[in-house]
Amino acid sequence: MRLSLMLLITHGKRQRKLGGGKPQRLNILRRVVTGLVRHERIESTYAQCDEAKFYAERLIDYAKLGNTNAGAMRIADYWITEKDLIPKLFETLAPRFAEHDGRYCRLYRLPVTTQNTRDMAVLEYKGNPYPSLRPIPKNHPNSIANILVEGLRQDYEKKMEIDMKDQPAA
Amino acid sequence: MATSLLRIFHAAFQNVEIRLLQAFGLHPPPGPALAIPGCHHPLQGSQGSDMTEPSGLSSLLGGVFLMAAPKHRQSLERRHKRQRHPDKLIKPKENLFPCPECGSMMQEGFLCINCYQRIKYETDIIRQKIKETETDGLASTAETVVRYADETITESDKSKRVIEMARKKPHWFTKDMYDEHWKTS
Ligand SMILES: [Zn+2]
Repeated sequence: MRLSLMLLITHGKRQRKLGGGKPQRLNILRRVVTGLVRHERIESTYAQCDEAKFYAERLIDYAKLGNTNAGAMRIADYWITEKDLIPKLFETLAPRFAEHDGRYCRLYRLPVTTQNTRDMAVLEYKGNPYPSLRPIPKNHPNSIANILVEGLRQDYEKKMEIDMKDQPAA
Repeated sequence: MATSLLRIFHAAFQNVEIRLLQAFGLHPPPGPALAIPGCHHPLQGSQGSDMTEPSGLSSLLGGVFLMAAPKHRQSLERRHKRQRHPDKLIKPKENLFPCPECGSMMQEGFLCINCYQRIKYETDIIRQKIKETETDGLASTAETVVRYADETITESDKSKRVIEMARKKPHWFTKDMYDEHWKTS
């Protein structure tokens, strides 16, 4: 249960409904979390991704306790339906996020177009081997516009220096 | 003019005369405007004289449940007011801007669909390669690093599982597209 301002406004009904009841909701979430652990980047509906993100991050928090911890193993056994992924969770994902706290996932929304009429999203674990969906904005120092602006700035600075030298003399 | 008026008065007086005669029972009453004859089977009628079949409108609509229907046509003004209300129009999007990577228009808070399709294609290739390296479909526990044909792996990546790609690196896949910057921020 998430404690937040949104929880206060919505009278405790923070979660959206998935499927047709509690068992079906948990099955959907387990399916999404298992796929995320296997592929580290999945595409699903925005509602399913947004709900599963919370559980995927809590799963890493439990995995950090180690595979000798009985509670952590019980949680991993419940949330991961394909059992060959349990070593991957404890030996790959838990050491990767050992020095990090909290936000282990990224969620991106996909635009709704004529081809993609459902509200889809991409959910991923950080540190995956795939190319990044949102690259860092790059500077272009060799583009002609930036060279001209840089030259103009240098000329302006030189002119200001000459003016400052002339003023005390006058 | 005068003849037409006379004709109208004549017709009106004839009508009044008929109505008066009807009131005193001297003229047969007018039949229903839309008379629907009931379907009588001659054989059935001759066999069972005590069984009276429903005739007329009630036999035609037997067992049909009539629903309420609009009595009057809505005026054009009312219809247009309802259908073309400003709240029902598609609102123009104000939060569109060109993608810094490819220049196609994208919406704030969403991914660029043009860039995403390109990245998804590359991601699917890498995923397929990873699937081929796994024996019996069991997931590997090592970290994964992708090496293209024109690349060399660093010392820190030697302990990891290396996915060899036969082709060269795509030109858009620059160095800062490796998911490394999350460690510092
Ligand atoms: Zn783009």
